Amino acid sequence: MPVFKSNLVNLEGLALNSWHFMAISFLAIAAALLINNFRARNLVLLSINIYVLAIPFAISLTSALTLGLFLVSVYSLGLWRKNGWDFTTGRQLAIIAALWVFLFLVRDPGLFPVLNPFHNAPVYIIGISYMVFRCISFLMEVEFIDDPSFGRFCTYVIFFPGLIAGPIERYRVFEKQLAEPVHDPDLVLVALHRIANGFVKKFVIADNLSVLGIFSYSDPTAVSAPLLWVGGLGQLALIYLDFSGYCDIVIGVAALMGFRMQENFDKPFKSLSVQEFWNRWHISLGTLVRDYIFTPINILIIKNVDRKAQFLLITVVYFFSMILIGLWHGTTWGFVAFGTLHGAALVASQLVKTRRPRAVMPWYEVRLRQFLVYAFVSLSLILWMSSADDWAAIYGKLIGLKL
Amino acid sequence: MLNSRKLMSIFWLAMKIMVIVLLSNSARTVFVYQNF
Repeated sequence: MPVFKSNLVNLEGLALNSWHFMAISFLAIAAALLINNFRARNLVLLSINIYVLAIPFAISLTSALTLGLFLVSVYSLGLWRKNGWDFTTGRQLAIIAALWVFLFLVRDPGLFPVLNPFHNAPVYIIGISYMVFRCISFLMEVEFIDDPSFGRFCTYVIFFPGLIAGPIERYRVFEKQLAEPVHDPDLVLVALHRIANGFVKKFVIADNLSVLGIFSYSDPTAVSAPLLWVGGLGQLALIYLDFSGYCDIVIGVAALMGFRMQENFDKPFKSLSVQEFWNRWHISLGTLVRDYIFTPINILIIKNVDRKAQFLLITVVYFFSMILIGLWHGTTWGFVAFGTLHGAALVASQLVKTRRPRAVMPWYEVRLRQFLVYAFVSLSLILWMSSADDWAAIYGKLIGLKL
Repeated sequence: MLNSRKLMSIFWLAMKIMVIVLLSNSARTVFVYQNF
């Protein structure tokens, strides 16, 4: 049982360092490698994915039925689109909004208790946030697929390596790889190194650091101010090690199966602005929000709104995209506050954007900017990871005030 | 074909696995409980 539990990566049920995960991965790799028949291979892969949901994650019958009904509904909608339904930008946004409302209601039965059908019959579906995004990707890209099948769609949505915390692959890319997994003997060693790197990052460094206790905000009064600074500034590095380590393992396992999953990180600590940080961190989520939500809304604005008001509205959309990303992680005040703060930071970095390229900046300015962006994001995680009742006490203690 | 670059790569992979086995949190728990 791993000691470390990250807010981002919930490993209850099937820890990546368990023999169970390794055995399932081995089986999936063998199936992808040895079964040449397209249908048989997909059937085995789908069965393995269903097994992971059913046994290690012990999905209840009600939850399984809810998920099944949800998948059938999304698939039917996809077929409808494929068969000529006019998928206007407005309809696209309305469907995405409906899927997000479904996500919020399923994940938080206490939300809008009078209207929430899951209030009295709560369900628990592991990785539902990621599944909803994959469903959105399916709906957006289904028109490019010749013969979308329900089995392959399900394999995509519940693909076990990325089930808990992504990366969120594009449907079109996944479908292509499902048809023809790429087995390159030269990449086997590379993939094994990637998995080993992930294990070192997550289970050697992050786990051992987290047991020091300084990264937890559970009892801020018990921690001295200097230690709170160390924990606050170290928080982002710890989450990076944990989350990118997890992604390394997942991407490595998928590569051995013949699937190339999208990279989720691109040296995020080299960012010179908050905007750049979000282009380098959790990339698969950021690009999906950009392509499926941010850009369509902006197209609507550009088509329908007076030129003078466009900039203001696009800025507002920027702001709300970050709040949406916050809410996607959970419907709590912590996530709302985190999203709001980062929305404001994105708008601010748009307004005071420097046009000087990195190459002409003196090295100390580059380092200072990198540190400030890192420190801002790391300290903002206090909103994310602690209770709203403790925010004043923690931030107060950091600056020497007793609040 | 195994060349020297691949052999070195396999060697480093083995080193990484040793570090994981010796130093990872869960691996240490296994070692403590099984009294190795």
